[in-house]
Amino acid sequence: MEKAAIPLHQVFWMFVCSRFILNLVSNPFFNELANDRDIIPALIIGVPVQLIYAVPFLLLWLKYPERSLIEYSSSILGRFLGKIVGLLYIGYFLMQTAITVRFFDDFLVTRFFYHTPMEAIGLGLLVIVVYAVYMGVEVIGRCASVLVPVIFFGMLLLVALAFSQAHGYNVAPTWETSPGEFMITMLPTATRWSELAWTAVLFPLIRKRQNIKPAVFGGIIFVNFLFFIVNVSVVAIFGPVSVKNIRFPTLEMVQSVSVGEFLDRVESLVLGLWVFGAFVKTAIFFYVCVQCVTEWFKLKDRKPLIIPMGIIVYLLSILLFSNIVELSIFSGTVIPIDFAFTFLLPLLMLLIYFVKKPFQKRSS
Amino acid sequence: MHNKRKRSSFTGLIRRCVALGLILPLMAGTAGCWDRTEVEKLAIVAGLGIDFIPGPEPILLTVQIVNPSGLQKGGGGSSSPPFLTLSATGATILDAMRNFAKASPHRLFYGHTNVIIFGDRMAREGLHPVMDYLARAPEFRRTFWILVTPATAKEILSVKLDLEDIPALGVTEMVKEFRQSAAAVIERQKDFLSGISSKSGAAPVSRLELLDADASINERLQEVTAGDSQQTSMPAQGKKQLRLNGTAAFRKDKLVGYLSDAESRGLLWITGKLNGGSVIMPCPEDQQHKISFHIERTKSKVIPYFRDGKLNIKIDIEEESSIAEVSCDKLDVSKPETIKQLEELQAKDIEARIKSTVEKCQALRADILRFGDTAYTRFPKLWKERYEEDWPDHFANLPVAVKVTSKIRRAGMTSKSGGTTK
Repeated sequence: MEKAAIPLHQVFWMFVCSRFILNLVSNPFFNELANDRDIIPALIIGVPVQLIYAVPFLLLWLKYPERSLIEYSSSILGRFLGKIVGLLYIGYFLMQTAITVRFFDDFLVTRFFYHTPMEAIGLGLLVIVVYAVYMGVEVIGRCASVLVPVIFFGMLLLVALAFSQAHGYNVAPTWETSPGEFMITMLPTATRWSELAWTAVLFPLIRKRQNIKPAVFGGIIFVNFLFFIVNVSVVAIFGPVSVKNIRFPTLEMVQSVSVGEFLDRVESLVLGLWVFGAFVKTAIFFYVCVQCVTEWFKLKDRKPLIIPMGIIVYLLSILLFSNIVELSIFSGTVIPIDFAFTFLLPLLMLLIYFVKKPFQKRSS
Repeated sequence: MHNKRKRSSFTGLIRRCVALGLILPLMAGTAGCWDRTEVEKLAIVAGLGIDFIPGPEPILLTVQIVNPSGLQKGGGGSSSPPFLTLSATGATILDAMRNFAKASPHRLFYGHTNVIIFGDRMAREGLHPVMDYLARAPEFRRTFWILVTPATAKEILSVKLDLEDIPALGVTEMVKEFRQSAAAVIERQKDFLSGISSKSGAAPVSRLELLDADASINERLQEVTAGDSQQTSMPAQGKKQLRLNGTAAFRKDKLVGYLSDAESRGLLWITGKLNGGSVIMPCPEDQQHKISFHIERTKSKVIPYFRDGKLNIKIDIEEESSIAEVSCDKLDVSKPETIKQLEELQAKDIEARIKSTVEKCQALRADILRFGDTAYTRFPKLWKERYEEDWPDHFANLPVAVKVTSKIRRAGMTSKSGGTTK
C-alpha cells in the first residue's frame, strides 16, 4: 500500500475548496435564514458555531494519528458495529460525490449548455476525476494548492467588480432574529462541513498531522470570510426577498457586473473557476470513497476499484434525482444525515473511546 | 535487468494508450459541440417590447433585430435598413417567441437585450407573468433596463432615431446618459423586483414617450412670427422622437400612475440619487426673470420616527449649489445677505418640489420613496404590528415633514448680473 504524504498547506486548500465551491453555485443558506436582512450578524455568529462543531472530529483524528476513520471505527465500536459504521461512511461519501457531480451537471445545463445532455457533462468531469484518482492523492493536493488560490482571488475580483450594483439598505440588519434563532439557523451551514469526515480518512496521509488545528480552524474562518464577502454582496445586489428565488445567486451576481459600461459579460470567468473547483471537490470525495472501500475490504491496491466505483458514482448522479427541484429539496433533507456523519457519530465514538480507555489501560 | 526494462516499456505503452483513450472523449466534450451556434444563424435582438392586447393571445412581442448588412456604411449603397422590427402574438411570452420562429429563418438571440419596454396596458395588467419568464430564461440577465411607455411598445420600437442606426441601442445610450445626468429614475430589472418585493411594495420605472418635439416647437415659433407678413416656412416634418420623460409608479407589479418630470426629480432628491442637475426659480422680487443654480452636491436622509404612537417621516436634505445664471435686475450677488436670502429661497423651492412629489405618490398610494422599507428597518416590530397590513393606505395618510438646508458655495466667474454694471 502506498504511503502518501500531503503537506498541511495543501490540506488547507483542499479543505477550503471542498466547502465553498458548491455554495458558489447554489446556496441554500439564503432560504434557511429567517430574514435575509440579518445576514451580516448571522454570518458572524455562524463562525464560532462552526468552530465548535469541528471539535469532536478534530479530537478523534488526534487520538488515532496513524489510522483512518474506517480502521479506528472498528477498534472503538468493536468489529461488527465498526464495520457497519464504516459501510455507512462509504455510502455517505458516495452520495456526496454523486451530489457534487449532479450540481455540476445541472448548473451547466441550465445556464450554459442548454442542449447538451446532462449525462455527457457528468461523464466528462468523471473521466478527469478518475484519472486524477489513479495518479494519487498528492496530485489532487497539488491541483488544489494551485487552483484554489486562483478561484479565491478570481471571486474577490468579481465581487469587487459587481459591487457598484449593491445597495446598502438591502443588508441593513433589522435584528428581528434573536441570538438563539441565529444559532439554529446557522446550524445547517455547520452541518455542511462534510470535509471533516473526509479529513478523517485522509488523516494518516497528512505530513506533520499533529499540527492540523491551525489548518482546520484557519480553513473554517477563511471559508466564512469568503462567504461573508460573496453572500453579503449578493443580498445587497438583489435584495433580501428576491435573492431567495434565485437559483444560482453567485452566477447572477457575476452577470450583473458592468464596469464603466464596457467590461460586461464576465460570467465565463466564474464558469471556469467553478469547473476547477468542482473538479477538485469531486476528486477529493471520489478518492476518499475509493480509499474507504480499500480499507474496508483490507485490499492491498486501490487501483482496480477506481473504474467500477466511478461507474457507480456516475449512475448515482443521474439516478438519485429526477429533476432540479428534488435536488434542491435534497440539500434540505440531507441536513440530518450530514449532522449524523459529521457530528453525532464522531461524538459518540469519542465518548466511547473515553469510557473504554481506563478499562483498556487496566487490562494491559 | 534487460527483461525488466522491456516490461516497463510495455506498460508505458499501455499507459499511453489508456491516456489517449481518456483524452479523446474529452476533446469532444470540451469543444462543447452540442451547443454550438453559428453567429450568422442568429438574429441578435437589440430591444424587446411587450404589449397587452385583450383576447385569446394577449401578449404582443415586438423585437428589434440588428441587420448587419444594413449597418455597413458606404458599401455600394445597400438600401436595406439597419434594423428590422418584428411582432408576434401569443398566449404566453414563450408562445409568442415560438411564433417568431415561424416568421424568421434565424434563431432570435436575446443575450444582448439591454432594454425591455412595456406598453401602458401591459403594465396596468401586471408584469408578474412576464417577469417570471424573464427571470427564468437564462439568456436574459437581471441588469436590463425596464421602461414603460404610455403609448405601445410596438410604436416605440418602430421609430427611427436620428443619430443611432438601431433605436433600441439608442435608447440604451439614452438610458446611460440619463443616469449620468440624473434626470430620471431608471431601474434595472433586479432593482425593480427588489423594490416591489420589499416592505414598501412599490417601485419606480422610467417613462419613455414618443414626442413630436419638432412640431410643437414649430407651432410656437409660428405663433411668435404670426404677426409678420412673411411666413416662416418650416418644413412640417412630423418626425417623432423618443424622450425619457417622467416616472411610472408601480404598486406590486401593476402600474398605477405616472409622475411628471418635475415630480420625478423630486423623487431623485428624496432617494439621494440626484447627481448634478439644476434648480431654476424666479428672482426674489420680480417674477419675470429667472435665476438658476447648478447643484453640486446633495445628501438626503429619510428618518422615520414615532410620535404619539404614530409613524412620521422626516426628510432631511442638505444641498450645495453654485449660481449658474442670474438675470434679475436688482440682485447683487456679491453681498453675503443676498446669498443668505437666495439660500433660503432655494431651500423653499426645493422643499415645495419634494412635497409635491410626496403628495403625488401618496395620491397614487404607491410607496416608491421606500418609506415603508426604511421604517421597517428602523422599527421592525412596531411596523409589522401596525403597518404591514394595508401599507398603501397607511402610506397615503403618512405625515411627512421636509427640511432642506441649502448652501451656495460659488457664483461662477462674474460677480454682478449680466457681467455689466448698470
